[in-house]
Amino acid sequence: MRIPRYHHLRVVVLFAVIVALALLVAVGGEPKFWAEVDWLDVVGEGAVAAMAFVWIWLVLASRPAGRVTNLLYAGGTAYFAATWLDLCDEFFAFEGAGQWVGSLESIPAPIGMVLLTLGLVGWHREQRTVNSQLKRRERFFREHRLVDYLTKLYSADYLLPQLQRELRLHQARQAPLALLVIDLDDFAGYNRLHGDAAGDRLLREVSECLLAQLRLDDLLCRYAGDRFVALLPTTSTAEAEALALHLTQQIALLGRQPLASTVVAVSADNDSAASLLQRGQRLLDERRQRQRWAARKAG
Amino acid sequence: MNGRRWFDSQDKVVPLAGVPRLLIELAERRGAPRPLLLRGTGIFDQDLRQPGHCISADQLLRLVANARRLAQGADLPFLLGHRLVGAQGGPLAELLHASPDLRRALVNLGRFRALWQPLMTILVQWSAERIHLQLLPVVELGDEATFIQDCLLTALAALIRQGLRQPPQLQVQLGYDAPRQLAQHQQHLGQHLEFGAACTGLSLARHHLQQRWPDHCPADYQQQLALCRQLWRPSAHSIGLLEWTLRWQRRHLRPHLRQNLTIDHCAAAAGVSTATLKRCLQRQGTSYQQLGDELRKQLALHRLATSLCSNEQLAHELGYSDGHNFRRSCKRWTGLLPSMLRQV
Repeated sequence: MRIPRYHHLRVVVLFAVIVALALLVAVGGEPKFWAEVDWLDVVGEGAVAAMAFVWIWLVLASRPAGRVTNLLYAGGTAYFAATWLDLCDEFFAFEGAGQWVGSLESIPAPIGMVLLTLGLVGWHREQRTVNSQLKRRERFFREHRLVDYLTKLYSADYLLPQLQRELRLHQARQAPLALLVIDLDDFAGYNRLHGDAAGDRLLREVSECLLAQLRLDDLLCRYAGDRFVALLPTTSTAEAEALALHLTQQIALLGRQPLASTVVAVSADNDSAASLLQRGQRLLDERRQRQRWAARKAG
Repeated sequence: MNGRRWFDSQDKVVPLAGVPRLLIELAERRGAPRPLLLRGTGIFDQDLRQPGHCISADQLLRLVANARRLAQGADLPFLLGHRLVGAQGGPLAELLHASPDLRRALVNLGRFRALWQPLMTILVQWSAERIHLQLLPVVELGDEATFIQDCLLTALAALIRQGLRQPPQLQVQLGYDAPRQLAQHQQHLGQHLEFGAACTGLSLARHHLQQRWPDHCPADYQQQLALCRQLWRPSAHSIGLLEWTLRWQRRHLRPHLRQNLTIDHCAAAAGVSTATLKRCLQRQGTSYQQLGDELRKQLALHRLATSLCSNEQLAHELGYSDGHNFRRSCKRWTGLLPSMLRQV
């Protein structure tokens, strides 16, 4: 969990706060004897302070700079300051003139909580924008471990449960559901000719092209290798087939030479998710076979 | 090297320029940093630049374990398989593509497979209509066995599909249970998959063997053949222990040699003591008896599925004293009697 360079100032401020408050407590109070220290409190408050520190670290390690990040950071730091003071004054006693230090710890906590809450409201609004950016890549369920590293689409593991859910919903509503199976022709040949790096680039280009052509409610997944599957909710067979033809034409425009692909459409017909997928695969393989026979006859 | 007639997991027989180099490049492209990839394997960066450097099977398996952990994507073995027969596959890949037909390509693959990796050997069996290629490990592969099998199966399947203009119907058998998600297997190995099979391998129709390959150029072929011969010569250490013992047992299953089928004769032929042979086999996680049993199982299942000989005849061929023992062994291997397997 590395913190990027543009946050380094915030980290410096955080450590400055830690040192400053510790010094303040040490100067304003008398150290307690070991026997007077309540170790249970130390453990409890130590754990809370440590977790607050980890929160701030996580925020800085995962978010870019910005308004929402600043709110979360400021709120987290203020709350952490309160828990840190709490921990420090377990080891010191405050008498007479130094007593104001003891009451210091009640101030940062509520301020921190308010700032954190404001930050989270901002995060909520931000997430709505992010969700709309992920349209067509994601559908009502998120599991980052199932994302394909190359195309950033979800893999087959994600598709199957989503398909099962959609089939249930569609059957309940008597709405049509279609699947598109998209496969590039002779991708292995392309890799041999242009190299694996070019093959990877092509897959990313094809994913972007497909995403651009699909509608907002559709879901595109990278099934395996050079095969993609698109889930088309509330789509009739005719619409799906028209879209399939359109996608073939769009894919052909990629690359220096026309890129051949095979796209087939299957409609749900009281299937299970697995059988619908299998039907799509079989249909695509058969279409490919027929194309090859036709090419051999002609050539 | 040692005085034995085989290599084991510690002997340095795997050329770095074959599977290891391709695996490292692939894993790096998939986000695995090289220092972490090489940690614990005993492979150094400068070794990769030295031609002809070899590592041991243990080192390769540790490298595979690292790659699986660090590189992203569940399709790593399949991608590696494609790379083996691709442009970076080295002289062996070029030789295979330049071969005149599938039969010659398979012969060359069997002969020069050590240029990629010597950890698995190919056992060829025939039936009336089809040729069966089985992959057998020559040393104990442990947890990485599935990875290596998937990689080699993909390479074989890709090679065959590339050479034959009309891709044949390949039937693939896998020795492990079906994974939750079949997408990768179906995409890279084909639709006809059988999981939980008795052995790992693939089969295709025999008539494909004689089909001329499109990329065949006689001059190129001779050149690549010469290059491969130069890069790899069979030596005393080119056979893995398991393969050596299996070959011995298979040869001595024949009726007139059967009296020499004991472990003592095998050890004597290898030039070691019986105790040494027992120990070496134990280190590979197996024993002479187990290997013999495995061999009989492979041969029996193949014959039952593909030919019409009787139980008694098959029992005699495999060295059982009578049909009763053979039927018992069959039940132990598969839970079914030979007659039921025949129907299948």
